Amino acid sequence: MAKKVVNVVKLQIPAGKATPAPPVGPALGQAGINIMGFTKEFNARTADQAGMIIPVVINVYEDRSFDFVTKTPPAAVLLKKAAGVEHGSGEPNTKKVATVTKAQVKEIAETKMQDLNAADVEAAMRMIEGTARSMGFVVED
Amino acid sequence: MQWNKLIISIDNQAVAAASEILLKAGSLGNQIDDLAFQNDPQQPVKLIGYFNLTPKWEQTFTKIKQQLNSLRKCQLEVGPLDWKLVQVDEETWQHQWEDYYNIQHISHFLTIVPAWKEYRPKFQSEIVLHLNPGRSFGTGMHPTTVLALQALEGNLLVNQSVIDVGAGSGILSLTASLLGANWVDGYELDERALTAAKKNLQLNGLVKNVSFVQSNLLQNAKRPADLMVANLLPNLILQLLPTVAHYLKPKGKLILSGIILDKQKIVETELFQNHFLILQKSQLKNWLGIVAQKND
Repeated sequence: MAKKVVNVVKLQIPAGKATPAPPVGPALGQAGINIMGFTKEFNARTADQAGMIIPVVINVYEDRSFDFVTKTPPAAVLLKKAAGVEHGSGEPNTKKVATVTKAQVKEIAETKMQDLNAADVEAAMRMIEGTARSMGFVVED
Repeated sequence: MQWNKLIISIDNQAVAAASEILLKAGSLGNQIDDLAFQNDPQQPVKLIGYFNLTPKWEQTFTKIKQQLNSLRKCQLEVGPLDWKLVQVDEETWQHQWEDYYNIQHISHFLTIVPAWKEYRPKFQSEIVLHLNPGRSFGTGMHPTTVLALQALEGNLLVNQSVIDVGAGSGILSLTASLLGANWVDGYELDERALTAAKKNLQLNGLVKNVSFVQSNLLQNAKRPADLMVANLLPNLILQLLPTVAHYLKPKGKLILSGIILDKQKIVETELFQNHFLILQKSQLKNWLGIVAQKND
């Protein structure tokens, strides 16, 4: 019989560098997971992506064993990649630093739809467009 | 150590944008608690960021608040948008998992018992190790530790000497001694783990021939052993391999664990290039353990 999932923990943490410090320690300690067991496995699986922030979803079972899935980089990272810039704007409302097309927004929305808890692609696109604007990106039609 | 924990209640639509604001402001990582939202989409999501305590925190916090407030102008639904700031101490979470740390039967002969639990051996030759891993790796619960323990039990002969690289809680060193090793040198870089290992040595009063020394891999190693065990991540195993031969006696055995399956080929190639013969491989979940022998 499949084990029952009692908790789901969602984190965004640097690849290959998880430590028992926050957010890993408090989130997993509270869930009853052995923190070092998680950091070892996460770091082993993400060592090749060093420098990236990786979203990770951890399923915690009744006996406090766990498994986890790593996701594609956060929407903001995909937007920066699409726009070809390293940083967003410090003053997003007045200082625009890049442009992304609707087609790029749609592609990111489709990739991230499930991770964003979006009901459909249109809803995901609104989130991605808003995120782009919050970073000082212009969204072109 | 203490950290600032910033908890933001925000509409799901603005979570991606808000999490980028926190990361850009120096959050060590974010937690997204959307459990309430999953049950009722009208509920906000809790976005939690953690920050180091710095003298400039007030400025950072003010900027975060301004940026969160300006999300409305980006045509994002932000919902209630309220925040709570608390300071957290590592003492509050580091012991929580202990409630779920139980007695583990690793093999027919070997049982790991949490330091705070009572256990009476079921038969005379049962080996019982008492352990408090604290904040170190090596509880006996992780597949890589189980693979290393089982390989030790199957390969260590009585009166052989052992080197344990990356000793963590000391679980492998202490088990090697209980299995009949002549002496065990455990090397560990992390000071907290070293403290935990020394406490575990005291906890197991019968063990007299184990020493734990601070060392980056084998840098401070003193003498060669008949058997070496290393439960490390693959990148560290690759660093270790060229130095192993100096600290293994002729025909000495090397137990490697901590090899995630997609790194199997790289580790095997390095073993071959360093003149090791692979004797045995075992797999548990997506981890691999290897027993190899110095091919003199």
